[in-house]
Amino acid sequence: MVFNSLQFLVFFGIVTSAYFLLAHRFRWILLLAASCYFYMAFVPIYLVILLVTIIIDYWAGIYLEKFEGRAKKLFLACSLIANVGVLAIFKYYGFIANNVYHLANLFGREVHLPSLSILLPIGLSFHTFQAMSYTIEVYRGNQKAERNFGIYSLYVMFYPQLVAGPIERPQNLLHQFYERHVWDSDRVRAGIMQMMEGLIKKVVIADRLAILVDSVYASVGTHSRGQLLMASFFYSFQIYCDFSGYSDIAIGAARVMGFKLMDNFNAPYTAKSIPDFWRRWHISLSTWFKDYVYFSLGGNRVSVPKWYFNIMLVFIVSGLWHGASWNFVIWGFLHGIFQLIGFTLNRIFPQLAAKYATGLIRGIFYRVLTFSLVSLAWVFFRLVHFSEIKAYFKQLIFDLPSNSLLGMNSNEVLFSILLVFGLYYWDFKGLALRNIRSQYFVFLLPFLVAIIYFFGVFSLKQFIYFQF
Amino acid sequence: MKKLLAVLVFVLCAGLLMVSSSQSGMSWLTHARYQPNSLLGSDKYLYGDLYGISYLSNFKYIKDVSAVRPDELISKQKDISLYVIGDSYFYSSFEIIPAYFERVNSIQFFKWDHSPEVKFKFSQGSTKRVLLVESVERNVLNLMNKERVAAIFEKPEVIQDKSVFAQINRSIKQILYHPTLEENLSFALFDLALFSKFKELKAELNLSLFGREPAGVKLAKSKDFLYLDQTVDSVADGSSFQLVSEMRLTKLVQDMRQIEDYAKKMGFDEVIFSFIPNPVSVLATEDKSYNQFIPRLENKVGSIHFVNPTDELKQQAKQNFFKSDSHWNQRGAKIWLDLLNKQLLSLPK
Repeated sequence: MVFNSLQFLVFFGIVTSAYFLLAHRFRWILLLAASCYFYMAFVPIYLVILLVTIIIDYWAGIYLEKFEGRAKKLFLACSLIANVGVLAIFKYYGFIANNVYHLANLFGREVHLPSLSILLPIGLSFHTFQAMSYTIEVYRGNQKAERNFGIYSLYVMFYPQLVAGPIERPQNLLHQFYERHVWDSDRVRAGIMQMMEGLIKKVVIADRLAILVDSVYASVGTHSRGQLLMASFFYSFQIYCDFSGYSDIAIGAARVMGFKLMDNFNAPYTAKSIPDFWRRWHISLSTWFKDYVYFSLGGNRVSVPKWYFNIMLVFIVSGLWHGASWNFVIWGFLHGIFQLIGFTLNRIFPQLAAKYATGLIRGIFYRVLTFSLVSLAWVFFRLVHFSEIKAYFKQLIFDLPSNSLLGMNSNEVLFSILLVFGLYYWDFKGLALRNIRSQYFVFLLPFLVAIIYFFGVFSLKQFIYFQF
Repeated sequence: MKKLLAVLVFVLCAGLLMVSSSQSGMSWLTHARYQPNSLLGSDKYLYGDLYGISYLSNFKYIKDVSAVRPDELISKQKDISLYVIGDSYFYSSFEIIPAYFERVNSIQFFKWDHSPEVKFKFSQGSTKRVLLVESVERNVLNLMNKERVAAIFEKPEVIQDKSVFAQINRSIKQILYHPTLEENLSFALFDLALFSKFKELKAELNLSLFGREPAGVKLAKSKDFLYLDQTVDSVADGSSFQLVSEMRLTKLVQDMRQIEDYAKKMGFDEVIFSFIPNPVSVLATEDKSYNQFIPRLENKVGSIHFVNPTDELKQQAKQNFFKSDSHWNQRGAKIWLDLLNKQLLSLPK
């Protein structure tokens, strides 16, 4: 069930109204049942996999609290192995088997690992990471183990953020399931407005930009340099609107019922450096890696070579988190390299650091530079096959004659550019529909519905991040 | 007040979900929508199926749904039982009755995409059994194989993954998630004449501003006909402008022969094939050249009975098709009925 569908609209109406009609003590049951229904709309049987990891992590949490020392470490290891194991089987097995085969081939050997024809459970990386953050926090003593199995299950499965985040922390979410949320008109309005903002980002902007992006990226070798650059520019905004649109709908839907989920985006393309970008992009994932991987490796309180190694490792793992494919590894590697170059330059020329770029010209320069680097990396994110990546850069460098069309006429290109710049201005000014005064809600809502209807592209296109 | 609002939203959404998830609910709704002057009325098909997809207001012509009147045919002997495997062309603008054909005493029609509930049986009697295999040009390559035909006559065993997991998956999906729920909800919520003006406005806006026709539909270069996009798009299967190799045509003829052999083994006396050209193949409004799929095929079929109405439909072509529907009109249908009648007359007694 995707957020930009009528099924979700009806589902949301039923669940939210029932939530407010039910007595507080029954609400978690309703939410859990609704979350199961939501998840099973994709592949019902995969609920079993989720249930297995939930049971393991639930008991691991309780035993982590009971035991100390080596036993405690053992329970944490069990939980992490179970979660990573599920990821390894369902997400990475095919990738590993394929690489083993090719590696053996290099040495003149044939090694065929047995093939598993299994579908990747939707949102696996998201809820697995959320589950791991629970056991790690219980291990660290920052979170009490949850005794109510239903509530713990709901923590992992809460439908708004189940399949594409934000990846929540137990300290932020678990206690909210015990809180009595009453109907607060301002909060409901703000939630609905945030959902509308997300829908606009998805169906009006992302899916419109996708028309050109899909058309060009379908055959990169036959498009001109200008067309490739335009497609890359649009893709940067497509993926942003697609993913942040999803997050807005998720956060808004939870907000309507009184839940406060963490923000996942903060105007990422206004960033003046790559580290700044990562403080604004997919915040719930980047903070996850920072808290649980980077700091565990020693962060920056180690020697410079080790620090650089830590950064590269985190970004490469982050790339792999996105997908079991080398192009995602390269994407992560590039972001790591950009960070290292930035840190090195900052050490040599501290006065040039982005944080000092307060003037207009320097500010624009740093933002354009950051955006360009991020967009360059997105090429590796979008193109899965090396042959495509090679064709892209060959055409980008040599601009060989081509006569392929963009998939849009000039008016639509212009309209799309206006949407992109409008969005950028909106982000730059820190505007948000949820902050609009409540008295305008009655007028604004039908207006936004009309915008979505008349300018939206309705293709029930999946959210890009669902594949992770 | 807030509680009342919550109850109202719950009842509305739950009711909508129940209606959209049930066969009987959708049947009731569909019936209500297509009642004349109904408050819940829909104009999706009132003006032609391509208007119903596109909502381009320039193509809002009320579709004449009357049937071609049968000629006064003189017949000495009604000796053919006609069995037809076909598509919507076979019941567009005429009725499924034997009165159009001099030698036909009964017709049984089977739609390509409907597999039978029970195994097929010939009707009793000593008449000649003729099988007509009909398809519109855009679907020919996809449909013409023995297995597809056999699936109509023999209740096919549906090949499904029989593992426990797959069976559980299927059962849950069947109980909880109606396979066409999204379409049903869209039909229930928005397929109302009330919304047509908005749909037209959106379609006009997209066309005039972005030059973009609604998905699935293409406006003729001459601007006076709507086509299914698939038939015009040069890279789409079934397009009138996609290159079809000689090798592929030869393979198709082999497939037709296999169908013929299969049908004769089943007990049919004769098999006739008839492929209806895509409207764009006949109307020739585009600045691309037709791939001559049907005429080239006709030259290859040899002894196979083949009815090709292309040349006849090309005469005063614009009068043979609706402007906002993917099918022929009564005049186009009559041309084909006459050709088929001739073919049936020519069959040995």
